[in-house]
Amino acid sequence: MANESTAPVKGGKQYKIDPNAIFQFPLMVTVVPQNLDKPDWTKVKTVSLSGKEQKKVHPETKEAPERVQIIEAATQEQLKFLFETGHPFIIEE
Amino acid sequence: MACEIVNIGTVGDCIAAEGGLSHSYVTKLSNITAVTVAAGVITGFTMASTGAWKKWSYDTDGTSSYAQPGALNNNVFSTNQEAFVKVKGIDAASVDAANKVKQCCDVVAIHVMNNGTRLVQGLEYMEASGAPIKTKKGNTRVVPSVLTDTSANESRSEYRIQGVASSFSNTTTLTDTAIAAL
Repeated sequence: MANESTAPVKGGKQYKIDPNAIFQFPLMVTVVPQNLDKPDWTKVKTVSLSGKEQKKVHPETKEAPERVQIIEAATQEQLKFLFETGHPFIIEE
Repeated sequence: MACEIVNIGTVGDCIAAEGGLSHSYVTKLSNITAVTVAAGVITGFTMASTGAWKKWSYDTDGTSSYAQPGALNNNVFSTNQEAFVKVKGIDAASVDAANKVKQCCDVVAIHVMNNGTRLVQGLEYMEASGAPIKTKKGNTRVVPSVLTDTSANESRSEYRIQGVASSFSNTTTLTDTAIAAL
């Protein structure tokens, strides 16, 4: 079964992060709308543009205990969406 | 941006027009690798790594503000942008924070107004997604002051975030939750 992040989007095009950008910024993260079909930029999620999952540790505060945030690698759908918004680091294969 | 005259008028009811800043998120410009824009509104930032935005919370005493007065010099437009914010009390941590932030050459701040609008200081107005465009006429920097004042008043740190741009700041839709997750 194809991995969600690598399965081609409809139309057959593949999208990837510019390797030069990954070389320069190996830990990039950005935001995408949670619903790509009806994008609402006030409801977004963080995705990794490093090509792989990242973890972010939120230290303990007075309001909340320490927690680990898992930042998933951007899927093909998300990369396609970012490409169509004009993101400078997303390119077509 | 080409010349165009559009309708203008009072933005919402008077309550919605309340001024002042609630808090801000500040980072070094070098932490931002790309900016996503839709219809003149910044919808997202691509950051070089996580945790780069730091929250600045201000005293609720009607002193915080962000001004962008326009000016013409030899028919060239510019705006001396300045945010003024204040945090009461002085201790080792506040002195350390002031000494560190004054070293930063270019900063970007997301100012959260009391009416909910969010303005991004430190970038020129962006009409399309791309690499961040820093303020063209003068670097955006933080100028801190550490003031004991007299026994009749409170000690405090005051921060002026100053820069000179060719255009006014974009707004952004990024929420506190989204910024904290970046």
